Amino acid sequence: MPENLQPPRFASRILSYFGSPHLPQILGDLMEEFNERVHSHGLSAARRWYWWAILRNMIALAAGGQMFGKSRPKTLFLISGIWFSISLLWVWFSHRWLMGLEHQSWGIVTLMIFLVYVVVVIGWLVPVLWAIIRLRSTRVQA
Amino acid sequence: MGSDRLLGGFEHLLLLAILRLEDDAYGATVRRELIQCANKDVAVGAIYTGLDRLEDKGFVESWVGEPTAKRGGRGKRLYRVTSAGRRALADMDRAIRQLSARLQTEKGSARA
Repeated sequence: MPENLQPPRFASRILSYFGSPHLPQILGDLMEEFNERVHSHGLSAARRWYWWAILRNMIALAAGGQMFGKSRPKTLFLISGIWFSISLLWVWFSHRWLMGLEHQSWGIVTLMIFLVYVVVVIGWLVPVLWAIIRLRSTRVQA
Repeated sequence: MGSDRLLGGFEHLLLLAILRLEDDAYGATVRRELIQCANKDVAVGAIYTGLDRLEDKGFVESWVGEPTAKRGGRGKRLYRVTSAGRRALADMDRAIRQLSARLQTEKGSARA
């Protein structure tokens, strides 16, 4: 198949993070339907469908508990990393915005930022600790 | 019911689809069958999750086919209904028929 008729690689890579034992079969089935849709609906419509199908499969795998298979610690690290990055960005932006204002009560602002940091640290640490505990228990069982 | 393991609604549909497809039952064809016959557009991932449950119950068996270029060098996982699966389907059909018949009888006596 020519390179330009391939389904979006990045979309396939996102699904591979979910670590389902059926990943090769799911990607194969999606590719089969992608090929059929290229012929019946055109390349751009097939690519749009592929992205939509990847999103639906991510939800289906998460709902079916397959994202928490053997790759559970890996997935948790990924989720916690995304959560940590978004939260830090939000804190940075909100802090910059507040610094730009002539604010009277700096004590409250500092307290608010401190509280946000506490939430960020808890939100990051809890899944990471969970992942570490699961990794250790998997090794002990092995 | 003869089988001690009950079939869910989605599992029932999956078993029927596999039976209809005979030797060509895998994720994409089962999905197509569900769309055409049951008007259910289900993600392939959800189909494999359901098929895993059926395999754990011993109602289907699976094997991986030869990789093909059309699928990007990936093999199909083909499914077949086992004799336990056929028994579970028959039990389910019998239960539905009996319950429906009783429902109609009760409706009839209520009208009278």
